[in-house]
Amino acid sequence: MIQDFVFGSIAAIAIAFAYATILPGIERKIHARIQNRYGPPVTTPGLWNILKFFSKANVKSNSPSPRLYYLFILIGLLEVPFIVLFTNPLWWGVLGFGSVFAIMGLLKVEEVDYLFIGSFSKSMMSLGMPFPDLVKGSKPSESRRYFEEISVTRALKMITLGSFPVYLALFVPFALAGSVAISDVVAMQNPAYRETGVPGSQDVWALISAIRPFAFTLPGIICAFVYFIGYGILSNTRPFDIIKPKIDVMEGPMLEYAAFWRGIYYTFTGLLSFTLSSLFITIFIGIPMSIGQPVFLASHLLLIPVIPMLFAIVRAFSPVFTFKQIYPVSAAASALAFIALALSLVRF
Amino acid sequence: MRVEVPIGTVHPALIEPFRTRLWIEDETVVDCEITYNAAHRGIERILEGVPVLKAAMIAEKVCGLCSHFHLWNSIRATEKAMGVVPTERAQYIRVLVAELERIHSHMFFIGHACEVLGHETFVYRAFELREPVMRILFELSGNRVHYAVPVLGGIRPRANPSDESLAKIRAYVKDFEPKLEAFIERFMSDPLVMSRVTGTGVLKKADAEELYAVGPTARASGVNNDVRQQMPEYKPFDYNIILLGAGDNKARVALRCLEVKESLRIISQALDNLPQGPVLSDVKLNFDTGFSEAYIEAPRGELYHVLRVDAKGKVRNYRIRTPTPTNLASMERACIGDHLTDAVLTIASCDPCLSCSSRALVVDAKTGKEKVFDYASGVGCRK
Repeated sequence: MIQDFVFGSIAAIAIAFAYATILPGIERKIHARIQNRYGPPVTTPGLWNILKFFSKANVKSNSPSPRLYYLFILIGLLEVPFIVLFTNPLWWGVLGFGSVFAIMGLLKVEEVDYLFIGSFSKSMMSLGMPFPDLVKGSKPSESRRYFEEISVTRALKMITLGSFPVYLALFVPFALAGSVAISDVVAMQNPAYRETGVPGSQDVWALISAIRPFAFTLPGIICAFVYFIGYGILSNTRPFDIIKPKIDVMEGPMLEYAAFWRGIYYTFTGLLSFTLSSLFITIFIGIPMSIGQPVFLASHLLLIPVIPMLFAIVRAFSPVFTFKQIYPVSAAASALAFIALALSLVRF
Repeated sequence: MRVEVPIGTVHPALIEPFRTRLWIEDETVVDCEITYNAAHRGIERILEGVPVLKAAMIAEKVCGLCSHFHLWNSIRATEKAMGVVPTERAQYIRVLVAELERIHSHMFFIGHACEVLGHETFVYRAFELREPVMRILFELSGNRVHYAVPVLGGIRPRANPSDESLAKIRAYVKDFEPKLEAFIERFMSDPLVMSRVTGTGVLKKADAEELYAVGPTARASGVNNDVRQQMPEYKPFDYNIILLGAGDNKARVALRCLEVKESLRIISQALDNLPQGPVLSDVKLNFDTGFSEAYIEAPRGELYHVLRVDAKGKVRNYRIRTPTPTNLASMERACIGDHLTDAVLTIASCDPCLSCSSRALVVDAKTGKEKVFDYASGVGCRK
C-alpha cells in the first residue's frame, strides 16, 4: 500500500515535470502560427532552453541576501508539485490535504512568493548613475526605487484584488458539492470514479460518458470562464503580466535570476502552467490525475494542454494590461463568480 | 511618496541609448526628464572639412530609418548654396523614394508602438506590411536601408526606375492599400489595444504649440505643422495634411496610419505623372558659399540641415537638427499623469530617434563655458 503511494506520488510528479517541458513550446508554437512564423521546436522553450541555462555560468545577484533570494524561487518550484499531489486521489486521505483550503493555501503561497523574491532583489538595471547628474537643467536626485520594488507593489495589488475572483470561482464547485474535499467534488461529477475499483477493466466509453462535468452547467461555465482569466493572473502571463512587463520593470522580481536560477524559474513557470490546468480538469471536469486508473489518467493528460493553448491565443492578441484594465476585469470576473456561486447555491 | 524611477540608458524597452527619469507617486508619473547624447557619434565633426559630395553620403548615415531624408536635405542645402537646379524627373523620384521611406518608417513605428504595448501579433502584422516597401526600395536603389538616391543636380542614374520597376511599385500600391485598410480596421477596433492607447499620453494643442512639437506628434494634437506645405517639390501633388485633435497615444498611432494612406496617394500621382527626361542636370560647382539652410518633413517631423562650402569645396559648420530634440519637451509633458507603464508607451508614441539626435556638445574643458554657434555671423565657427 505504502509502495503504491510512494510510486504513485513520484509518477505524478514525474509526469508533471515531463509535461511541463512541452507546454511552453506548445504555447510558443501557437503564438508563432498566429503571427505567420514557424516558431521554435516544441521542446526548445521548455526543455533545451532550460538545459542551456543550467549549463551557463552564474552571475551573482546584487541582492543583499542572494541565498535567500535564490531560496524563494526554489520554494516556488517545490510547493507547486504539492498542488499536483493534493489533487491526486492518492493524497486525498492524507491529513485532509485533498481539500480546497490546501489548494488555495498553496496557490496563495505561490503568489506571495513573488513579493519575497521582489523584496530581495536589487538589480543593477534599476540603478541611476552613482555620481551627481551635472547635465545642465537636470533635476536633483531624490529617493530612488528599484524596478523590483515597483513589481512588489504590483504583486501586492494582484494578490489583494487581481486574483480574488479566481479563488471565488474555485470555491463554487465545493459549495455545490457541500464539502471542502476534492474527493466529493470529483464524485459529484464523476460517479463512476468511486464505484469502480479498476476502471481500466471496464468499457472506456461507459466510464467517460458517465462523467457530468461541473464546467458544462451554467454556473460551471461562468466559473470556468473566471478560472480561465485566473489562469492568466496566477501564472502572470500577458495580458496580466503587470508585475513583469518588459517595457518598464522588465522581468520584475525575477530580473536577477540568471543561468541555473533562470532555468529553475522557467521550470517553475512550466510546472505552474501544468498544475493550474490539472487543477481545472480535476475540479471543474471531474477527472483527477489518477495514476492507477489509465482511462482517467489518459483523459486528464489529454485535456491538460487545452487551457494553455486557449490562453496562448488570448495572449497573442492582448497587450499588457495596466491596473486601469485589470481592476475592471477583476471586478467583472468577481461579479460573475458571485453570480455563479448564487446559482450553484440555489441548485440552478 | 514621490520616488524616482530611472529607465535607461540600458533597458530592453529602449532601442536606443537614452535615459528617462520618471518621478512617480504610487505609479502615477508626476514628472519626467529625458536625457540623450549617451551615444554621441560625432557625425558633424566627421563632416567638417570633407568634400561637398562626400558630405552628403555621410549625412545619409545619420539615420537608418530616414536615411533618404537626411541625404535629400543635405543635397537640397548644397544645391541651394550652389544654385544647382535638379531635373524635374529627379524631383519626382526623390519624392517617390521619400514617401516610400515614410511608409516604411511609419510602419516600423506602428510595430514598435505595438511592441511597447506588449501586443506581439500586431508587431508582426506591421512588419509584414513594411517588408514589401523595403523590397521596392531595394528594387529601386539596390539597397534596403541606405538607398543613396539623390545626388547633386538629380538622382543617381541607377535609381532611375525602369518601366518594370514602375510596374512593380504600382502593383505594390494596389496590393498594399487593402491590406493597410484591413490592418487599420483591425487595430482601431481592438478593444484591448484601444483601452491602453485611448486617453493616455495626452498632449494638448496649447502644449504642443508652446513646446514647439513637430511632425506627427504636433499634428496628432491638432497643430498644422508639415514642412511639405512649404516644399516646392511637393507642389505638383494633391494630398491632405492629416490633423487629429485628441493628442493621445491613439491619435499619434492613428495619424501615422492615415499618413501612410496619403503617402500612397502621392506615390500613385508620382507614378502617373512621372516626367520623361534626364535625371541629372548640368552641375556647375560654385564654392565659397554662405550658410545654406534646408528644412524637410521627415517621418518624425521637421528636419533641418545647415552648411556652408568653403573656397576649396569642403563643407564647413555642418549642423543637423533632427525632429526628436524638438519633441523631447512634448514627450516629457505628455507622460505626466499616466501610469508608469503607459508613460513608456507615450514616449515611444512620439517616435524618438535619439542616436540620430546626438549632436556635438562643445564645452571648454578649462572654463566650463559652452560655445554657441552663430551661423549668421560665423562666430564660433571654424574658419
